[in-house]
Amino acid sequence: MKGFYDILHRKFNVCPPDCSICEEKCSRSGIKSVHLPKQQFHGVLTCVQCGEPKCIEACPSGALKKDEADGVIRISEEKCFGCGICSLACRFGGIYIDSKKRKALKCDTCNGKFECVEYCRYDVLKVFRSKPIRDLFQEEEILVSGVPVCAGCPMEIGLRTMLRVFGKETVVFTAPGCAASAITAKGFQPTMKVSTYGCLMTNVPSSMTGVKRYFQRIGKNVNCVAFVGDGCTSDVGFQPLSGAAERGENIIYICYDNEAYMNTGIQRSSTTPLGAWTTTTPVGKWGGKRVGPKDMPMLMVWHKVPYVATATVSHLEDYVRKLTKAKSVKDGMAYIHLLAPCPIGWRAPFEEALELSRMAVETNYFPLWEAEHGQIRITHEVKNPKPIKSFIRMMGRFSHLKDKEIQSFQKMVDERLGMLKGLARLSKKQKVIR
Amino acid sequence: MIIGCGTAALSAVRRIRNITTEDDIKMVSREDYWPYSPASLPYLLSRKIAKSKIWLTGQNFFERMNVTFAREKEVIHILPNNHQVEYRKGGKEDYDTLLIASGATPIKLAPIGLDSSNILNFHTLKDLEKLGEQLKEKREVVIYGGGLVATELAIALLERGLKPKMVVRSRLLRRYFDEEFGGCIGQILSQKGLRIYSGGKVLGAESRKSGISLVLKNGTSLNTDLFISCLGVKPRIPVIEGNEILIKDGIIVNDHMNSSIPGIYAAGDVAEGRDFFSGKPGINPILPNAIHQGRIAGSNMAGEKISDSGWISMNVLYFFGHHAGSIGTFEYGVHQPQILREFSNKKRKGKELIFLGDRLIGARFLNINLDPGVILYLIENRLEIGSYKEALFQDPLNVGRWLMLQNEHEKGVILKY
Repeated sequence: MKGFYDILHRKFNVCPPDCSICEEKCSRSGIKSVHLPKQQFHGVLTCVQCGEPKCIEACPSGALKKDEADGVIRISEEKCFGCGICSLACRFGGIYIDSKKRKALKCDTCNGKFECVEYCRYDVLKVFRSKPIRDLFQEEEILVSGVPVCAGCPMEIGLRTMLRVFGKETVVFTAPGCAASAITAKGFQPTMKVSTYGCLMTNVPSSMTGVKRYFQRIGKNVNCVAFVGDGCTSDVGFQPLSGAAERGENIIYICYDNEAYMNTGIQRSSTTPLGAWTTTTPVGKWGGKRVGPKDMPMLMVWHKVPYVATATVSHLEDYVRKLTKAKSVKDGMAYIHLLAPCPIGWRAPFEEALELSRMAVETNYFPLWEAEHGQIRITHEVKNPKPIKSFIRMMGRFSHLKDKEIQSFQKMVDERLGMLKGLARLSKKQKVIR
Repeated sequence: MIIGCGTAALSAVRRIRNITTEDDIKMVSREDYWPYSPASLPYLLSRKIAKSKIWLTGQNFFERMNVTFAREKEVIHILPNNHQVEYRKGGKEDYDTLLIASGATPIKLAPIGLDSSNILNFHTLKDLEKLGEQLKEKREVVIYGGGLVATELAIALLERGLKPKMVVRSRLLRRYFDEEFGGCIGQILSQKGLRIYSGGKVLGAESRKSGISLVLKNGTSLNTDLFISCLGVKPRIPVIEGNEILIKDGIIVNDHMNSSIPGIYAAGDVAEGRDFFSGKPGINPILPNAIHQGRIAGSNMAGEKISDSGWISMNVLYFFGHHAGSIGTFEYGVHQPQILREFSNKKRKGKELIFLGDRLIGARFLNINLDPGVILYLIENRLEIGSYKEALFQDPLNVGRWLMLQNEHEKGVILKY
C-alpha cells in the first residue's frame, strides 16, 4: 500500500562514546556515526528515505529511484557514474560518494532487514514496522477524494480512517453537523461507496437499532456506525444514546468532538470546556463558558457498555487499534470519543489542527484511554506532560484567560487525570466496576 | 504546457502531480530523445556509462504522471495575448499556464575565421554523437573555455586516453575556485596529460587540409584536428510577442517563478531568479538550481503559493580519485568577512570557509572529506554557527553533520554557545 513504509528511528544524541558498530557492520556504508566529545555529541546519521527526495531529481542519469513498494530509495549500480551531484542535493547527509570507485553509496534498509538495528546494543536504532497497521486497513478507499469540509479539519481524516478499517460491509449514520456534509454531500453527489443514513439529531441510535436488528434477523454481519458530533451526542441526542447503550444494542457510535456546535456557527455545547469563547458564551463580563464540560466518554463507561475509548487523529495507530476493537464487539455498544480540533471555531491556524490534537494529548487535556467492560486502561502514558498553557496559547478561544485562570485550568486537568489514573489502578487490581 | 523536458521541467511535473491529479499537462521537447541531462554527457564520452542508461525517467513515467510528451517540437514563438505557442515546424497550440524551461544554448564564438562546420559544441546528445564520430579518426583536440563543462570534457577525453589541449581565456574554473585551488586542479590534470594555455584568447584560426591552426592572444600558435567551443551557456528564450515581458540575460522571474506576464512561468537555466545572498536577479545555469526552481514553479502553477529563497552557486567535481567542490558565494562587497583557510599544494589538500557575522556564506574544498549537501544546509538555513567556526573548519565532516542534526532536532531554536 502506498505511503505506509517501515521507518528506521534514530534516537538523538544518546549513542555511547566511541561506539560505531553500526557504521562498521554496515555492508552498504549507508550509516555514519558522529562523535564529537568536545561538543558532547554522539549520534548517528543515515538516509531517512524522504518523501520528495532531491537526490532522485538531481541524478543526471536517473540512477536513483524510490521503490513504491517499500519506500526505499535505491541506486542502480550500472547507471551510477559517481558524479556526486546527489551528495550536493541531499541536505541531510544521506548519500555518500566513494571517490576511488566513483559510485554513490546509501542506505537501502538491507531490503527491509535493517541489519544495523540488530547490532545496536544501546537501543539507539529502532525499526517501526508498518505491517501491523497496514494489515488492519482495507485496500479500497471508501470515502472519495474532494470532501466538502473546511480546510485543515481533522474530522475528515478520522472518518476516512474509520472507513478504511471497517470496510465495505458498513452503513454510516449521521445527523445534521459538520460530518453530514462529508457523508451525504448535502444530497448533491455521492461521496461514499457504502450506504449512508441521514437521521435527525434526536434519533440516530434509535434508527441504528432498527437497521442493525434487521441485519441480525437476515443473518448478515454489517457494521452500523454512527459518525456524529458532540452536540448530537451529549445534548440533543443523549437520551436515545443512553437508551440504546442500556438496551445493549450492538452498534458502533463515534462522536467527533469539536467542543461546540461548529456547523451552525460556533455555539456552545455541553462539551465546550471551561472558559472557552463561543458565540453564545462571549468573553465580555463572564469570560467565556462558566461551567466545565460534560465528561462524555466517562458517562458511557458508567452505562457499562462493552467498549469505550478516546482517540485523536494525531495518534493514528492508537485510533486504528481502538477502531479494530470496536469492530470486534458483538455483545453491545462500542463508543469512541474522537477529539477533532476545529481551526475555525477554536480560532487557530488551519495547519495547526494535528498539532492541536497532539498537544491536547501531551498536556493531558485529552488523555487517551479505553475501557473494556468497565476496565479502564490508559493507552498512551505521557511521560513528561507539558503545561496546559502550551495548549491554551495555541488558539484564540482561550486568549482572554489570565495566568490565574490558566492555573485553575491546570488544576482541573490534573484532577481529571488523577481520577482517570485512580480508576485505571483500581481496574488493574480488581474488576470492581462490573 | 511545459516547454522543455530537462531537470527543471521534470521537477515541476512531479510537484504539480503531487498537488493535483486532474490538470492536463503537455510537455514539448526540442530534441528527438527521451529526457536526459547534459551533465551525463562527459561520462558518456568517457564510456563510463552506456547510452541506453542515461535516460532520466523510466518508460512509464509519463504514463504514470499522466503527461502528454511530444518530441521534436521546438517552440519559437509565444503569443501571450492569445495564450498560444507556435512551433518551428508550423502549427499553433493553446495553453492556460505556460512554463518555459527550455534550458540554455551554447554561447556562440565571435568570428575567428572558421566555418561553423569546423567548430564543435558540447551541449546536447547530438553534439556528442558528432564529436564521437570525429574522434574515430582524429586525435588532436583543443577545448576552448575553462568552465566546469570544459573541465569535465577534458577529464573525459583524458580518460579515453587522448591528450587534449585547453585554451582558457583567464584561468581554470574561475567561477568556482580562486587561483590556488584552480591552479592545483590544473596541475593534477596536467600530470594526466592535459595542456592548459591560460590567458589565451583565440584571435584567429585557419582551416587547412591537415587540420586547424589557431593563433592565441599571447602569440602562441596551435595545430589541432578538432576545435570544441565550451564558452558557457546563455538562456534559450523563444520570441515572446508584445513587450510586457522583462528579459535581461534570462527571463526575469519573481519569487514565485512567475515572469512579468501572469500565467507564464520560467525555471532552470532560462530563468533569472533572485540571488540568495544579494537578492539581485541573475542566471545560475546549474542542475541543483533547476530542481529548486522547477519545484517552485510547479507548486505555484498548481495553485500553491511557495516563495523562492534564491539560488546559491555550487558545484562538485570528482576526477582521478580527487574531489573538489565550491558552495556559496565569495563576493562579500563592502562587508568584512572572516576567512578560515588552509591550503597545501604539496598534499593537494585545501579548504576555505567564509563567514559573514555568525553565518557561513561560502566554502571551497579540495580533497577534504565532507558532505557537500550538509555544508549547503548550513548556508541555506543561515544557521548561526558562532563560536563553532573553528571546530567546523577543523572537522567539516562531523561538525557539519552535528550542526545540521542539532538544528533539525530543535528546528528553529538558535544554537546555544
